Amino acid sequence: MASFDVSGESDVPSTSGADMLSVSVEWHDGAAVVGVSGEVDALSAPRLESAVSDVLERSPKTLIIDLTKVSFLASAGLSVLMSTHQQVGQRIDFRVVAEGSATGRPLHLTGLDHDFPVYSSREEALTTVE
Amino acid sequence: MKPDRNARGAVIADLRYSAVPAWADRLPALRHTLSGWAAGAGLPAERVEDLTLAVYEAMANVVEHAYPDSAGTFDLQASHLPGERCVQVTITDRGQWVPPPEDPGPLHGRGLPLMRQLADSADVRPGSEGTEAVLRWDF
Repeated sequence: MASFDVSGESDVPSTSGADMLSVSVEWHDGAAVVGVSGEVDALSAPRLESAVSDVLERSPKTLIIDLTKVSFLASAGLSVLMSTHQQVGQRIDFRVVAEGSATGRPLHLTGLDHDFPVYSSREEALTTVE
Repeated sequence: MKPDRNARGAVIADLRYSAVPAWADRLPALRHTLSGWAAGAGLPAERVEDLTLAVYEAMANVVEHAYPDSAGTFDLQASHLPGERCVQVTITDRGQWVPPPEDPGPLHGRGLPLMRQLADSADVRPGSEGTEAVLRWDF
């Protein structure tokens, strides 16, 4: 049977976290929206973590992490969401936006969608901000 | 032996990588290749996503835990088994198995449970020579 066998490290190209993920921050009054696009895995999750931590230093009333443009969400990214949720406690209204199976399925299978509110659009997450 | 064919009748070759360095920066390219392979094998799009994430978590576990003291490698093999109506992905390392803690806390330990939920079957076999994880998705 045909198969191709690839050996040696040069055959698997390396990727940098910076190529995989971009993060933008928008402010709507006291609500900070962290828009994430790309792939969140063990390599790129620290970039998300540091962007969130920069935003938290500015003490938002509401923090929305928008994963609409995320095409891959691994457990390392779920850990960032969970640690953010724990870190902000009751002080900050923490919300996540996830639309589609790439983000919705891991959030649902791990039960994280019960730990913090998950919205299906940024507009919905923003319009219900008090 | 009959050639291995997917639903559209095309031959789908095994995908095999040997001695891949267990580094996090090698995993994105591997999972992209695997994703294309699984789609080519005829898995529906949603199951391709499941496979890609589950195999990623298995590989990330090797990167994170298997070689605490030295550099190591792992092997990956993906096969379409038409006789068993499934695709099977095997990830093999030669490192040590670190059992997940009973209570990993809220921030860690989601990778392996997630992997088991995403696959139709997941068999992780730790041994003295290393660990083999065999994941399957049924058609």
